[in-house]
Amino acid sequence: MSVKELNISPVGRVEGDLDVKVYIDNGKVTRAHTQAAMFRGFEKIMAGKDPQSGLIVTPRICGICGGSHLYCASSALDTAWSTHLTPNALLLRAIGQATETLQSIPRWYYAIFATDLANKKYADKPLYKEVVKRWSAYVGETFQKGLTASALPVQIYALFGGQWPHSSYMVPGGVMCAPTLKDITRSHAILAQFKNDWLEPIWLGCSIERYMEIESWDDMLAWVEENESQKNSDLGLLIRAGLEFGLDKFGQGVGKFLATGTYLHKDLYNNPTIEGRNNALIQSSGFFDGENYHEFDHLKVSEHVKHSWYDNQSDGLHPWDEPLPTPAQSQTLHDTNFDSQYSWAKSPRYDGHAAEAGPLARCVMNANPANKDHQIQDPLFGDIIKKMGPSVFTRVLARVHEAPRIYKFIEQWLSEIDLDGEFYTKPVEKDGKGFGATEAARGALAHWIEVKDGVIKNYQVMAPTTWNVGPQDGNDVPGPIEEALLGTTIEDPLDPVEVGIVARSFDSCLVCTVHAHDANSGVELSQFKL
Amino acid sequence: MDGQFGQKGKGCLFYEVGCRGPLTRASCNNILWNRQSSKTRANHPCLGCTEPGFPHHDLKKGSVFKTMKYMGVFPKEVPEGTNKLAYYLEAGFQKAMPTNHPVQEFSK
Repeated sequence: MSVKELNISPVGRVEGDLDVKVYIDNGKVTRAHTQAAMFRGFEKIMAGKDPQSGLIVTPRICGICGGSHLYCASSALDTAWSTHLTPNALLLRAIGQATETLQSIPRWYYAIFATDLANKKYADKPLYKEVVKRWSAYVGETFQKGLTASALPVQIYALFGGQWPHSSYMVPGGVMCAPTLKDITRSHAILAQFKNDWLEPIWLGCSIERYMEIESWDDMLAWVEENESQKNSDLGLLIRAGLEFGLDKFGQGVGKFLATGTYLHKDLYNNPTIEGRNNALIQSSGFFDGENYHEFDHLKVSEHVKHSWYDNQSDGLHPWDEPLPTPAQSQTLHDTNFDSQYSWAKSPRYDGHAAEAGPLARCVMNANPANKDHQIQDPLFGDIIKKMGPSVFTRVLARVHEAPRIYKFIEQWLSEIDLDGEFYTKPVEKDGKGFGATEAARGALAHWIEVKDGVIKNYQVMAPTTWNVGPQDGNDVPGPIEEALLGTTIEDPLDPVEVGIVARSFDSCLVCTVHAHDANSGVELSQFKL
Repeated sequence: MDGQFGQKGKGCLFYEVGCRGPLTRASCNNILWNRQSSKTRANHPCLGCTEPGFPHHDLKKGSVFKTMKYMGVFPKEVPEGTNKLAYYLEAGFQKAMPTNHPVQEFSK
């Protein structure tokens, strides 16, 4: 009885602005539509305003990715105004981005994802009992420890940015802060607590250094079995339970990946340009088409709106050429005609392709043999994609795989700050176009700006969830989550937890209202809040 | 602070970089964000995000991270219930002869 009780979805997961409609035939999803059900209009807010408005407005788009938006907003102005960035400024921005992403990993894993594994669907699996004991919402043993630890990395963000979320400390030309040794020392202490409270004892069961020796899927499996500590760590359990529960068997998606990259190197981006960005990235950018890597070029990004609730816009425009959004009449999920407009999300395409954004995309880029010495070189996910392909499992594994590396980066960057050096160079404001991008915790994030007559003429934000949750494009090709839902087996149509698992594996940061339809009769089977 | 960021504790953020600290009621400096800090402690001008009307001046040109002024000298806004002239005079005196001595912190 107690097990059943633990499976109740907590209050925090019953609200959201994403709806999903799936059609189930013979127990399998045959058609899926994602509907972003809320118009935000942030870009419209900024039109005609001070060019620096994005520094205040865009971090408030999201309570988790605010620092990532700030990274983009300041970078976009850096390129438009041809600013100068000191090594200190680049380090402190990278630390902000990294701490925000590190925060998101345990928070997402325990609060959003792992509780689904405690669903009764898996009750007959041998590892189910252990999963419930650890990861049930609120009462799970490590759920609480992981969530508590997730608050630590952003304490470091607050030391440099004043607060997290909603700081604006990254500005064109550098950062506002000028930290002292006290701030650096305290940051190291906070970081050490994160490691000692959660990352090593609970998550890895070994040292960060040991974990980072893993280079292939075989290494990973050998690591799990190497000793009891690693086998029984939360990561060890995720790998064992993930395979036992069959998470590697569904949620494949489009198999193409896009990363805009992040962490601009302290010595390689002192004079920001759009052209010089790719080479200065520590976390590399790129497009992987399933076979080959391609260098990322922001001019190959376009947005489609055939199935989005926007008027006065044609398909396939680059963000600089897109008009500010003109909202069309929307419908509720129930009344929506999916042959026509059906979502507030647009459909971003890279060189015409739908692509998945997120940690898996980043980990795929890390395996690119063309990565330079200052860039991350990690063949693991090249091997995993080759052997297993994308799935719910590989997507989750990629996300949590990032934590040890990000930890090491923050430690290194903190020690590289020159406290007697400069943090800010006052820029000259001018008209022009800019592009700024980063990797938010959940994937590629980019801002495009056009400043004219000293005010914002155009501002376009493309978020990772736009890449993943976007509807069909101008050629009616589904978006990544829609594609990932196809073929998913729904064991119990009255409790389609699999749909939620697929959607959450993308960390779409939204709770889904799922409407399950019988494909033959068109009868609505049930309406859920997952 | 002469319209500059990235400097340690030099002057007041109000006069040049648009800090709304004197015009804002909030608990940031009492309870601290993330148990660590606040915007003004980190050299970040207060945006007045707890006050009605945020974002202030509707983000119009020249209002973001800049203090809106009369004749390029006097801040257009002073704390509610304060006489403008008295505030400018008091601020002028404080600038010339501060009653709170700034604490110098050395980094190394």
